[in-house]
This record gives sequence, C-alpha cells and structure tokens, in this order.
Amino acid sequence: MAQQQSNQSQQVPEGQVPKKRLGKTGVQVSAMGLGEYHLGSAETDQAANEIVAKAIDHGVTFFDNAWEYHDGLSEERVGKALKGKRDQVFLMTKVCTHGRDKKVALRMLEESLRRLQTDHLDLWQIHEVVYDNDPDLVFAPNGVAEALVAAKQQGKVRFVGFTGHKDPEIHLKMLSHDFPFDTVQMPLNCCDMFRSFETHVLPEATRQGIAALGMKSLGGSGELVRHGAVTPEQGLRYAMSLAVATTISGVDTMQVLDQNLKVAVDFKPLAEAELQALRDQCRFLASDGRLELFKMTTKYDGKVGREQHHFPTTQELPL
Amino acid sequence: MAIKHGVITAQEALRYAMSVPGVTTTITGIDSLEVLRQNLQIAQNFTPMTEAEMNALRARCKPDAADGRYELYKLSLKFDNPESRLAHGFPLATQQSEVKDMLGAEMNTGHPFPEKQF
Repeated sequence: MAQQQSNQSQQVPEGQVPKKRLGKTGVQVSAMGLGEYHLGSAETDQAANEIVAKAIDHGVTFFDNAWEYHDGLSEERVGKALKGKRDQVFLMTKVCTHGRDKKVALRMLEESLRRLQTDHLDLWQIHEVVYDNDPDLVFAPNGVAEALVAAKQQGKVRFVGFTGHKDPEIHLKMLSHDFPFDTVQMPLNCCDMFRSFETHVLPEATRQGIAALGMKSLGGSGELVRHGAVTPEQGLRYAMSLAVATTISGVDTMQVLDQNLKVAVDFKPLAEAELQALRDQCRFLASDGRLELFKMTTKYDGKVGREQHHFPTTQELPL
Repeated sequence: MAIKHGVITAQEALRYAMSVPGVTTTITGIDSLEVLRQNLQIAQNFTPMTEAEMNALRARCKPDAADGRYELYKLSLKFDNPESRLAHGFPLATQQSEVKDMLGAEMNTGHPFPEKQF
C-alpha cells in the first residue's frame, strides 16, 4: 500500500496548483477546484479522505459541493475528510430550493453546515438555475436571493453566487438583476460552441467583476474525451486558460486526481493561438452541441429540481 | 400536455393559437374523426380573441407553464426526429417507436444503420 502511494505521488510533479483572484472578493483560490459530487461516487469514505488530503497537499483549495449531491453523502464525506483542515480550503456548497422560499433555503444552509462540520461557508451558491422561470423565482419576494443576503449578514457565508448548465440566456437574466453576486458558475470547455457560455456569459461576468467558475471542462462525464474531441490534458488546459477564477473538476478516484494534478500543478495558461487550435480541432464534432447534451435535454437536471418544477423523472423521459 | 393537465381546454388552446397576430394558419394534428369534429367546430365559429382575453389566458397558464414543463419538445432531445438526430450524431432512444421502425427497416433493406456509432 505504501509502495502504491509512493508510486502515485511520483506521477504528480512536486509543486502546487497556482492561485487565482476570485473576482472582487480579495480572496485567492486554486486554479483547479475539487468537484465533490463525484466524491459521493468514490468507493469508500477512506478513498474520499485520501483524495481530499492529496488534493490539499498539492495546493487545491477550492471545494465544490451541493446540498443535494448524493442525498447529502458528498457533504458528509467532505465534512469528515476536512477534520483539522477546514481552514486550509475555500469551502463552497449550493442551496437547492429550486423555486422554494427563503425559509427552505436557510434550513438547507443549517443542514449543509452540520454535514460539512463547520460554522461557515466561504461560498454559498444557488444550485442549478436551469429552468426558464428560475430567475423569476429566485428574485421573487421571500425567494432564495433574500436568503443569500440574510446568510451573509448572519456571518454564515462569506460570499454568494449561482450556477447552472442550461442556457446563457438564463444566466444573463440572473446577471441583469444588479444583485451583488460574488461568483457565477458555468460550463466552459473547448466544445462550448452551441449556446456558448464563453461567448455570451463570460464577458458579462468579467464586465461586472463577478468571478467566473468553470465546470464541465470535459463535458460533465468525460464526453469530450470519450468521443475523441480532445485528450483530458487538452480539455483541462483549455478550460483553465479562460478568464475564470477556477476550473472545477469532478474527482472520484485517485487516478483522476493525479491526471488533473499533472495538468494543474505549476499550470501556465495557453496562448490564444493554442486555444484557437483546440476550438478548430473540436469544431466538426461540437458545433451542434452533441457533446454538451446537458444544454439540450432535461435528462441531466437533478431530481430535486425536477420535482419542484413538476418535470418527468429520468425514467419517464429517456434520451 | 397543458390540456391533459387541466390547465386549459382544447377550445381555449386552439382559439389562442389561431388569434396570435401574424399567423397565417394554425396546423393541428388529427388522428380521429372526433378530433376533426372538435377542431372544425372551433375553426368554423372562430372569432379572434381580444388582447385582454389572450392576456388572461397567459396569466392563467404562467404559474404552471413558465418553466416549460408543457413544452418538453423545447427542452429534450427525446422529441427530435431520429433521422435528424442520427445526422447530428445525437443519441437515439432505442425504445422510441420511430427508432424501432427504422431499425426494423434496416433489417429488411440491408442499408448500413446507424452509419456512425458513438
């Protein structure tokens, strides 16, 4: 076992994942973030602990989670893995009201804090803003936006934001409210050509000084790699080179973590010509959106949101 | 969908669609004489809704419909034609009746199908 571990650490170069500025917050976060939905899929609690420890050792500070991931297991595992290490990370989780009110949001916050075994979050984001009327529900009187303000005032969260994977129009509607969001999370990858967040949302976030958080650098579940558009290294390098504070990448095994760290340790952004070469390489496969089905079908939307919006279940709406 | 869920009646839905300014014709699918009779009755007695009537109907539908739950064809690949899915490299739903027909047709003709497999 010890031998195995030393082999694994040999694969990843010494050194640290660089830090980047998180918008106007004055905080620095790691250029690659740990996507912890996938930690709920790791084989054991112990495996999750080892992934978290190794990520921290290499300078990963940005931790991404959500109240609804694996019905709370992802948060519970991170809570356990962070014992004695809470101060070394920038801890984010997401609130999953999906249209319900402030009271539900604040109850979820207490549950997240308890599972994560902490008294405050560094970042609390509205999860999965993906239905056309979600912005209206978020900003309705007594809606979740008011919960973000209240939680900040109570000192339970330092910064606030939102996330979604569906449509740039929905993100832009959220950003049109002059609400003091600190962060906005979105899919960003070299196949993001159909309903492009890079083209339509990233410039607006930058203009407003809101930190952009990238996700789905390989398509969400490695689609870009499986369909031969890019290698994992190319996909990660592209996403990390954009105007984002961090690129969140889901990790469920040590192998995936090592692959990510090899790119992220001492990372240097690609030049514009290299970015363009990768876009050109992907154009044939990607321009109709076939590798980003999460923008085109409800299949990838979470079950809590579907229930709140009275949408059919995945089983009822097969792809 | 909205009719099945009791949000509006067939009469209201068709009359609304036919009243939308700029529409030359409203195409409606017919699979039985019953549906034909229903639609003819609406069309033969048709008078356009007033703007106030249209607004009232929109307001009634909004709480349920604003997230798109009754227009899944805008939100899911499930409703896109298998022929065009295939041309775009999109996954096919093998349990769909159209796909079953296509797969059956292939068995008879011997045409390569699907040409491209992801």
